Amino acid sequence: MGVGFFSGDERMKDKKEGVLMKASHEKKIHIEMIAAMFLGMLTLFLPYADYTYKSKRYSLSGFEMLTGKTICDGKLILNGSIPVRLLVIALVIILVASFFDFIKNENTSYGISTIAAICMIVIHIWFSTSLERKLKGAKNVSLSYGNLICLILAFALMIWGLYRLWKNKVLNTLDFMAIPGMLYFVINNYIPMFGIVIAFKKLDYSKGIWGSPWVGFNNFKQLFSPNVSFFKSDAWRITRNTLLYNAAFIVLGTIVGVLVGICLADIFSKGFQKFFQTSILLPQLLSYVIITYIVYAFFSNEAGFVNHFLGTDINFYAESKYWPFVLVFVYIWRMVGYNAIIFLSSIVGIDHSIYEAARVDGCGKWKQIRYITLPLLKPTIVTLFMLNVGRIMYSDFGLFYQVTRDSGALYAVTDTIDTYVYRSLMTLNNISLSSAACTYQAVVGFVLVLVVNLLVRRKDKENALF
Amino acid sequence: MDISEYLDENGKDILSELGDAGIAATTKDGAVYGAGAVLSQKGGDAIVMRTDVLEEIGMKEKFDNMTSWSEFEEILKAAVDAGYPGIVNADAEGSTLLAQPFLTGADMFADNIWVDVAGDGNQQIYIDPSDDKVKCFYANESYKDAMIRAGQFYEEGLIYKDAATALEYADTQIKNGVGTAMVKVLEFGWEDTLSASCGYDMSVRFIDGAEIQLSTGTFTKLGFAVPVTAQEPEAAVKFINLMYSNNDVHNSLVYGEKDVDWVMNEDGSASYPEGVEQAEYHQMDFLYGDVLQTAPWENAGLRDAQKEANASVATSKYVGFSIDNTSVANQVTACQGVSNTYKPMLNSGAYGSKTEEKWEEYIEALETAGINEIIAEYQSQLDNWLAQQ
Repeated sequence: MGVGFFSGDERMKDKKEGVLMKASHEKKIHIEMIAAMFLGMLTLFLPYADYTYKSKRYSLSGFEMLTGKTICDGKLILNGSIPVRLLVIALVIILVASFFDFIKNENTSYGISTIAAICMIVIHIWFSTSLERKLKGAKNVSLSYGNLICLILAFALMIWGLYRLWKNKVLNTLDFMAIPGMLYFVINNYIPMFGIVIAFKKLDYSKGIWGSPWVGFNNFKQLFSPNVSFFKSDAWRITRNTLLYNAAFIVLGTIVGVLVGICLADIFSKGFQKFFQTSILLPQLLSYVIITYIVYAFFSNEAGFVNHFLGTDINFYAESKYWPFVLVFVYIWRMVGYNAIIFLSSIVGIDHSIYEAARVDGCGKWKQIRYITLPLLKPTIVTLFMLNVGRIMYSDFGLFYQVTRDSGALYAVTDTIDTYVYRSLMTLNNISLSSAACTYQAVVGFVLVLVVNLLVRRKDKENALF
Repeated sequence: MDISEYLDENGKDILSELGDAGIAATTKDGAVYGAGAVLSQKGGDAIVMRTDVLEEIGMKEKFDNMTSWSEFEEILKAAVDAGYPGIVNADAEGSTLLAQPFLTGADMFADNIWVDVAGDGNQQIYIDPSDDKVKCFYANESYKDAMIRAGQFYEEGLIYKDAATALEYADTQIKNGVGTAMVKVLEFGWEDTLSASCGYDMSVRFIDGAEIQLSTGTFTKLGFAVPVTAQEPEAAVKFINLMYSNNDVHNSLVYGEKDVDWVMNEDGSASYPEGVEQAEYHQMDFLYGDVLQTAPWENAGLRDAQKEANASVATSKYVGFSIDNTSVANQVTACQGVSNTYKPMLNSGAYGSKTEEKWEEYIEALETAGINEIIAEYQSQLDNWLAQQ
């Protein structure tokens, strides 16, 4: 929070100084931008791509790629390349930006040229990844130096623009520090979102994602089993399982976590506290593969502990009725240490003088917990609850896939969206159907987060996430 | 990708080794999309059991001459009574008494049959040669009878109780001492390797009626194709051609470097060089196109015997017809989901006395998931194919 306020104040100060500087600034045409634009245009006459045809090496200039050309003795007709066209548009925008000092101000000029330079870099990435497909039929297709020069130019322009904006106090150092994180988000979280189109396509490997035919909502139709009522469909089964298990995990996980946290906090001996804390945290460190075998040792038909001990002959991996309890138990057993430590750290942070005052007033342990610990834990509980609700459509894959040994007879109570998607993808190899299930998961999850947040905000504005 | 334009020039041996039937198996609308494998084509459904156990219970001769599943049941009961474990699952689907694509519901071995599944990797359908109709494999009465038998075997304690969910297969399990017998598809020339992989001397009894015929699946089980992204498709086809014509290429791919990983004996067989017990590189011989090109491992007469056996294999009338599931892909996936739920349990007999009831539930669930749409689609493909023949 502190950093945020500081950066806000800094920015205000910076902006004021920027305004002062701007007032004293002389309006000019940005020669460096015009030069960059001309150099960029010049690279169009240099080779942008190389390829081999009949054992000879040929080049294609940027200009040829722009206008289109017939190559390989007429076997390959190239249409004008869209990335190269966009590149030219970006260069023209840079030219326009060089005059923006007169229209608006210097910072707008640098802002526009920097954005155009970033666009040029993205266009280059697009160009290089799509090149082989574009020149399909030619051999040993590679990028050439004209293209690289243009890329270096774009980088230089971007760095220059950012530097000027920083000098003029439009951007401050904290903005630059946010770049790695933002890049991570864009690359890891936003770019893959385009994959959502697969859910609406019939994916054909030879045509690629964009070339595959659209099928509208067909993939979703199968998920919702058109032949039967919704309550018998795969979608209902996996949604119900995912939501109910997660609800049980959230509620029981919180209750048990708070209880254990309070108990841990009240253990007098520091040594004991550390010992218990470590030992209940240990299961969290076990891989689900190992947990699978522990569970198997209990429930196997041939050599399982439970059947031997009770003298029964229950086929656990075929009887779905036992599994909701088994899975909830395994989950709580595994997670309780982790949850307890989070609550414990909040409890430790509560001011001890409050408890002392309570003791003086004659409050017992139970009343201290009820009237001090629990109310003060509320913000932590609500935040964790909100975070968990955000993931309510996502299930613990290892738990539902490994621990149940993927036993088909248990699917009615163990199949969640994630295991369903995994199975459709890996064993049935139906990418479109699994994408549809993923999209459904994302959309419903998003709506749920919005709804829960809305409810929390109505009741208690402080604790809402947004 | 379609490699037909390169085959005449660069793939002559592919064409000659696979023959018309083999090429037809990978052909669609006149375009050849790959080269199927030439394997040991003779084979069938076989019951495999530990010889030492059979000898101990005095039933070796009975096993070698048995003609029905009831006789096998008696043998297995005697083995289990003597303290040995029962049948273990041959695959990840818990298969114990029935190996696809065989229908082994009838008690007499002679009445068990092999069916053509038209290259259906998902094992959902078969073609009934009596009326040229595509039918659901699991809805067949013979399948149901085989499952009911598995249920009885399970209740009698003749089947490994964890067969439905076991992550290891029969060979390993027999080696580990949790099983005595298995039922599996066995190809000619593979009987000897079983003893090595199971760790015991194994006896094999082929089920008389259930003999594999030459079908599309024979060739498409394994094979090579050229990816659409290939830059030098003709070179790729040339290389595949070598796998169908050049012994040296084949031996190198399978056994590794000559005189280091393996040596060629005078009788034409291959074996480890002196002093080497296990080479770092050693592959299965059927992985690289034409198995008949590879020097046989320590068994000089094997390839000639396989060639002879291949010549005697009957040909299915649907060889060359291959189902295309693209238009019903989602129904196929849904039906697979249903099969995942019921099949391992049925196969391993784990439903016990409830088998028939569960089988009915299974078929109903398949229908809900769209098996009839799949069958209708495949039927129209088959009708078109038959019309073109």
